[in-house]
Amino acid sequence: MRRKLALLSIGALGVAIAASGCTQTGNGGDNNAKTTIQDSVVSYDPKDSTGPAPAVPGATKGGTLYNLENADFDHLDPARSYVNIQQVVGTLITRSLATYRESVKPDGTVKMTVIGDLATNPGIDVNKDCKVWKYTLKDNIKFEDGTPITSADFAYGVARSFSPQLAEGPHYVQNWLAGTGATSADYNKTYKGPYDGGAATPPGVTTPDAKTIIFTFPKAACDMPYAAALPMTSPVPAAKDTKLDYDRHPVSSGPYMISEYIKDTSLTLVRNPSWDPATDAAHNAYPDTIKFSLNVDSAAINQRLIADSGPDQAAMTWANVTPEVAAQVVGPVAQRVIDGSTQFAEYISINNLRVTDVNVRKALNTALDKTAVLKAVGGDLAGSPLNTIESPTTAGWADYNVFGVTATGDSAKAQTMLGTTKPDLVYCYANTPRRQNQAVAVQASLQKAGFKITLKPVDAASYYTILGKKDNSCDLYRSGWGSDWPAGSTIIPPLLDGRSIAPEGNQDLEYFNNDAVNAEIDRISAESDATQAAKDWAALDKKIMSDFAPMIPVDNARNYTLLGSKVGGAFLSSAYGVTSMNTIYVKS
Amino acid sequence: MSDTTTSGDRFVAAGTGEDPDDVLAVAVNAPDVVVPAGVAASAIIGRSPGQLAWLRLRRDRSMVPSAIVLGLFLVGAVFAPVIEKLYGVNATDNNSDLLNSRSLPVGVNGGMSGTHWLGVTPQLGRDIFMQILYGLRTSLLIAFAAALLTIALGALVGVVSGYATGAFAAAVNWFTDFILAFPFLIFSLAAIPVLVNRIYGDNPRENPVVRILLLIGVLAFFGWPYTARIVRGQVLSLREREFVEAAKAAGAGTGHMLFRQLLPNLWAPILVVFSLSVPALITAEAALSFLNIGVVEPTPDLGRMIFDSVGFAPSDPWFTLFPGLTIFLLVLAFNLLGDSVRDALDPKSSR
Repeated sequence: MRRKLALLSIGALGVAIAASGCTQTGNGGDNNAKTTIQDSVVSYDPKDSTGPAPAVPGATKGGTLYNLENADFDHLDPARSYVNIQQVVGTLITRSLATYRESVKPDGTVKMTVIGDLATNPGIDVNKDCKVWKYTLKDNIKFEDGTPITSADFAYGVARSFSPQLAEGPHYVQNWLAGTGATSADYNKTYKGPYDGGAATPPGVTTPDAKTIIFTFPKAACDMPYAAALPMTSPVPAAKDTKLDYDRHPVSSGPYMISEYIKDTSLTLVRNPSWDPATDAAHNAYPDTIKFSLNVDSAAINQRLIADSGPDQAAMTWANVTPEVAAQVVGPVAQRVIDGSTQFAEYISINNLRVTDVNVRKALNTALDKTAVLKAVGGDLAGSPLNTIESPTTAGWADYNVFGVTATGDSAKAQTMLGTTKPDLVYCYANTPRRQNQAVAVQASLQKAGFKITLKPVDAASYYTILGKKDNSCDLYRSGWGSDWPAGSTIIPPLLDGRSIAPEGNQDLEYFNNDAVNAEIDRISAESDATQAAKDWAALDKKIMSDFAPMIPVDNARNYTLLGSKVGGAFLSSAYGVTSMNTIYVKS
Repeated sequence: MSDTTTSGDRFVAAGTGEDPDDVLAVAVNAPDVVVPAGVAASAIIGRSPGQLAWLRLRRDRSMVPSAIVLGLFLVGAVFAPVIEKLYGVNATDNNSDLLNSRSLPVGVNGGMSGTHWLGVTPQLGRDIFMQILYGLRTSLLIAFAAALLTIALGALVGVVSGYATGAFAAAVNWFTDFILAFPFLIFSLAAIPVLVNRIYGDNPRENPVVRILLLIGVLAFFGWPYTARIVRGQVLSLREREFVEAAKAAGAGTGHMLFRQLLPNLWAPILVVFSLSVPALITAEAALSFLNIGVVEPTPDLGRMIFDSVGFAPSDPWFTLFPGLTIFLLVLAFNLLGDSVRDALDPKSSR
């Protein structure tokens, strides 16, 4: 799921100083989280897509679930939602054509099944060429006001996602409809959405009747079932479209609807009376009410969940345990942790427009002490060192070590590679204590190898906006990425397809553009055999790193979040990389 | 505190009862001044005001320990590079190998050892002892420079506005009050990032010296009105005195009046204000750094160190303790010494 929400952890004030006589800290601590490759199937079995969702053993219905977060969700509008936690909340309110049903297998790993959500299946490939996709809607699906949902509402939802005003969401389907490259910024060059006089149905979308919607793409797009699980395929009633304000109250088609939403403060979800569980195979919707607190300091969230008293017993969070309180997560508290590797990888992007010497980029990869960089943000609770562009959870992932160095790097070897040159580089970081610490560790590790590194803090809220400008003045910067669905096609093309580079709003933060790599991206994208494609993406990953070294893979991010003692049915979602809310319940 | 005040008062009572600045000689019959047995009480020893102040200062019981503490801190700060050579560890070295997998220092009491006397910081593994020494250097440099600037500006404005009359004096006073009423922290929060951006724009190569100069400037800008008000008050009373009228009668010009006649009589209150404004400026600088608008990485700073360490209080209390203790001792020692200096130089003033 694309960029992860920036963690603005703000230091806690007034924490009691523990009287400490003689404290001894061992070398112990947890080992790295277990990594499992995302296990995903697209199911066309009608039983899988038919509600109600399979019951969770021991689950009880009712009660109020609390969710403590340190910031508001930027977007709940299905056209604009692109951050993982926005989408997890979003699927409770606005359902899409398809969705993920996740279940925990006996070995503790999670199995993802892509099923039809408001449609009866994840999409029929009509001509078996991945160009025409047909969806049939389920019966008895209604908006929160009781109005039946028709195919025109879906067409309108897709149409408005073309609007330049609502550009924050994913653009796969839009690009496929427009026939532009999968991650291109040109998807709305010709059709600009239904506002300002545009048609209410985008080109390529047809609605022959109220129950059928057909997507026709000029080029093959075999990943449509996954893309249909993105929120931008949700139905939006045209009469209730408030454009930019739709963020504040998206009309519910799911199990919950918004009863109160106070910006930067709280969000309260209550049951949607028009939701029929028999139409929904993914959401158990056990709690009666879900209350989000959206301005709780990270340290306070963790302290409250560790204390586990009162209503906090029925609380969850998506904020990782901070290094400051990690030492308190032991014994019974450690039993209340949702722990595991996610599909998110963290990199230090190298601006290839500025650092043009491949030898310097290779020396950077050789020099970086990834262990020290990780320790600066919490050690193995933050993640585990990574050498590849793809996250280890990606299907077909193959590890490699093209620079022949351990996770602590090799500054002597890097110095030899540099010879007499002493590159003078600027490392930009989001101006938060966490990222500053990390920047200092990066600087120390690279300077040991003979680089001169200047640190430049950048406003945290506009971090990706600033770095997304092609002419930014930074050489190195941290970036994170998670696949949009479990395939290399949502990692390498968005990050490294140089044809997508625009003056601003870039995802290719390396500004890497190589014709041979672009051609290979096109070749693998057209591959119809998913297993072979997965293998080819992994091979391309290795080729890019060994030949061009456009970035420094740093770590595979870990989820390590606390739950209250009365929360049940929670697990680490493999699709979103955070605690899932679909099967969650409050113990009575 | 009452102890130091009474000792000062007692000494003045033993003198001629004049303002100490005007006293040229006092009878040495204060109880704890050693007078050789048999020497007649009529023995009058001539002492300058400086000698008198020094005598009073020496008798102040809180002076010696605070001076020792300050002396140690000053030596540590000034000779930090030398100590670094002898100690063998750099302040900004990352020793991540001394941290466990959850990035807390390994070993006893936050990683204390023969090489790292006060342990290392979590996450980055920096040596706490060297960080504190260099942090002191930053704090003291900024505080002293800002205090000097504050005093110079304040004395100048104070003397001029005290001596001047009419619309000009009113305007200067109004401006002084205006600055006094300005909310310092809110202004700093708004202005410092803007100024840095204005100076550097997109150029990332920020010179740490500029940031330090900026901080000194901001602190001095908000500090001078306090000095100016005190100096002005003194000048208002001095300008009615006979020696001023005598100088006027002799045809002295304004510059001569301000800087040769008035200013030399003001050094006592100015020194007092200086000694009390240094600790205030140390805390103000630490506050700015705590709020992330002070000195930036990699320059070590006590305020920023405290900010970083607060969250670790439950898991690594030593990291919180040492910088906190340092700034506490520093400010306490400066305040006590400042009080002593005030009692010695200006014993009539009451708190």
